[in-house]
Amino acid sequence: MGYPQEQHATLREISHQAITLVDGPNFSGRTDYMRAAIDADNGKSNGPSIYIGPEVYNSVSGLTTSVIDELRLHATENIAGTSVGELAAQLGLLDLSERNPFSLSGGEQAALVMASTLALNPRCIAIDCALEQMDRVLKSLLFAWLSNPENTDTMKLLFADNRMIESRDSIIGPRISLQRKSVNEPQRQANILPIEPLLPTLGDDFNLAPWKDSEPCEVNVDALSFSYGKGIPALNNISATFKPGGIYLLNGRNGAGKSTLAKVLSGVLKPNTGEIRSNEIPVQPWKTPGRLFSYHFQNPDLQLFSTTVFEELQSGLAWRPLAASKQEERVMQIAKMFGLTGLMNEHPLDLPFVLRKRVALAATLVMGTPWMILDEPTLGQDDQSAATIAALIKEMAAHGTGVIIISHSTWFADFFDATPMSLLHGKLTIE
Amino acid sequence: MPRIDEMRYPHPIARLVATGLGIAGVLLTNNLPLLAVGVFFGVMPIMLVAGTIRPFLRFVLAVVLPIAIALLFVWGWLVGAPPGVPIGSAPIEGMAYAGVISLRLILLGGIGQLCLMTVRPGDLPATLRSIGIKGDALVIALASYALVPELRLRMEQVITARHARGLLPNRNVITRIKHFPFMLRPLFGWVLRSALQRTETWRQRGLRFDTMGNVLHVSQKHSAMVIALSLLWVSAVLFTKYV
Amino acid sequence: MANKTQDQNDLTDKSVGSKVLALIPLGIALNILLGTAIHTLKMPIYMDACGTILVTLLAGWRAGVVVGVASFLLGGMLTNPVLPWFAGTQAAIALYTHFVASRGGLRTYPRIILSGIGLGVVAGVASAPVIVYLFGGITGSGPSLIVAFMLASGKSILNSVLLSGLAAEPLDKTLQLLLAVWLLRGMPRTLLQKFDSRLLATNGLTNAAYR
Repeated sequence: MGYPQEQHATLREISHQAITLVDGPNFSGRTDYMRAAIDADNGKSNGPSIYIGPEVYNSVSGLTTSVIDELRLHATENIAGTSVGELAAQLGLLDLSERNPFSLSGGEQAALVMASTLALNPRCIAIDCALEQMDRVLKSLLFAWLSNPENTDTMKLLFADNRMIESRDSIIGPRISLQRKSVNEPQRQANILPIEPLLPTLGDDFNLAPWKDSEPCEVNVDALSFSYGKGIPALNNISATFKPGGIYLLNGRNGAGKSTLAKVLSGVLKPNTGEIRSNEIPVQPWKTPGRLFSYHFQNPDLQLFSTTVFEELQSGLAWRPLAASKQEERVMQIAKMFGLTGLMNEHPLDLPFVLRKRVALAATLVMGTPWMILDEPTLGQDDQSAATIAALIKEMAAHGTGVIIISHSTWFADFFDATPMSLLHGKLTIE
Repeated sequence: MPRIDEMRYPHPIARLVATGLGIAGVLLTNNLPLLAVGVFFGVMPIMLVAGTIRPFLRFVLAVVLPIAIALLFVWGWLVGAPPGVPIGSAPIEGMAYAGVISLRLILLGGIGQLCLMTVRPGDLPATLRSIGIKGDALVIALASYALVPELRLRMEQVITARHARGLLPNRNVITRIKHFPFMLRPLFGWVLRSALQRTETWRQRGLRFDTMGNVLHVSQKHSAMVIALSLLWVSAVLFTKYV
Repeated sequence: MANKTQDQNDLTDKSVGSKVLALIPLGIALNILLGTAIHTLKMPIYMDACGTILVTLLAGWRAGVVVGVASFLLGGMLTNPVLPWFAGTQAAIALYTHFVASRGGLRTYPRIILSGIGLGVVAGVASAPVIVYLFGGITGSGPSLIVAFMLASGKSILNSVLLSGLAAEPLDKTLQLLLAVWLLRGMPRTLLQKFDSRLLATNGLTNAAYR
């Protein structure tokens, strides 16, 4: 797997600098660039060189049953002068030390992966869009650690992020800018994917609410409570009104109950008490999940189950009594919006992360539900794609579809005139 | 200063030897009263002390009890004799045979539970190392143990994803069975992808196990005790068998 | 001495191939989980060998045996303490799967069905001694009914268990083998090709059309 010859000079350059920002949109070859830098460094210096990609859960070792053991597994004798416990405390993991690594939220897992990587005292780290799920508190702790020259004086750091704009003040360093397709992906040269840009508009002939049950509606939630087993309630007596066409931004730290709320609304979980009404008519989403609220996951890989992108998108219509040609028409319209038309026969899991996320998002949109819950919809998407997704969401809302967005990106949130909501200890506040 | 419960920890080798002797004893004997003594005065009191009585009772009630009832029905009534004896000629012996099999299952399961469930998760690496499991075998053992709950969570997430996509119109058993293979696909895809990515993670990080897990505090007194108990059990078996 | 221990505990490419090393624990967890899921869903098949079959096809019989045996040992710890006694059956399943797959026994659906019937016979024979000696013929599952019927008609316990196993296992194991192949056919080819498995290639599973 060769790396383009002309890039070798730049690779040598970065290896002498402390923190290098690698800037570039999706498909600019950012990932290959960073991987090549790691490969070039590996074996040449003392200490390992480590790449951490956007699928951060796969950088957890999978060998331990607690956060502290995961850190101990990685710890070398001298982690820049600190102990495992101190490192955990400095990176905001102390409260989580007895938790099982797999049970952490995406953001917490990212923090753990960063801490365990730093515990190895590596010579070189490439952080490739791995921190997007981290909340502000965890992120600022990490950046504070990395910015301390005492911690990182022997460490080379390559940093890429789709929201570089949000990290600009925290991490300062020389910048390498890559343009779209400025680096060919070496391993994909035989099979370059026909990727098209996202469209910022729904198109005139697109019917957002083609069915009776997909027409805009107001949703009222009354005294909704839910708890897992006999534990403390994850949702505690929640009441709210969601206006049709509203865009709501759900905030809350990791583990605050955001996904529980999403699961109850979409009907995956049955609330212990309380009522949900659609246009003042009581509904029971848990009996027919995914009809009132559709729910797009943070992690696309567990949402994709078909063998082609086309089937994946079509599956959201499977239960509708709709002619095949009508189904295909709708699927193709949405595929076009997401730049997927050239990929309809590809296996969804064969696509890179950024496209798997788009496929999962498109599949949610195909369903045509009156409400959508989108959990980190811009994960892995560059600024331009994220802005386009924001434009799409806004247009859908203008047509009456209600949207609840869960996102840690303030930059993305600024696109909307959204109603902020926050969850704390199972209580929901709408501002 | 080790905690109280750490001081009760028998050495892993003593644990293994005692388990081996215990199982050998169970397999050697078909003495119904002795097996009953083993259950009520051997395994159960130790379970109470070790705090593993609940999973043990669950095993007895959910796994062994149905089998015991079926065995009693088959050998005591339907066949009416133990194996190798003409049908209907010895119903009492048939029931005794059913009792022997049931008690043996309880004891084998109980001994296995005592051996394994009293290992605290944090002590697993050190415990495995001290019985000579290292290198690849240690990786496999630790990773498998860590992965079961993770895969269970992934499975739940896959089910959630299908619910959220509106693909499960209801929650009845037939629907779930129909969708089961389709739920396996993303799970298996995740397994393959994880295997490849974890390979890279492990290789890049050059992970070591000598720093992982607690230092094992073993109690010599408790090691001697479990060996003594198992020897007592085997002697009783041999005594009732041959004397 | 200390250095030697460290080296032995390093995760390297030595001995077991590192991809296989990462795959084995996942296969074990899959086996345990499927067994439990089937039990909870009260489905009429066991599904306890799917992980063993899949890992055998991806990485050969050695890995398959490790997955089968270890998952039943660990399953004994986590779910049902009598499972470890059937670990031998799992080893037999891995060996047989490797044998038929290396001869193209999973190339077409008719072949898979034939191979599945064979797998059922192997599993039935391998578990019979345990069922006879340890369980007195009754494991509490569906085939126990057949055993009871045959015992009542005067057959010996070994014959009853063997015959009931041969009646019930082939269907179960054929379904599991079909499911395993269906799962593999649904996986991205590029992902499968990375495992570089001769068994998958022999059965046309690294380049078959998606279905």
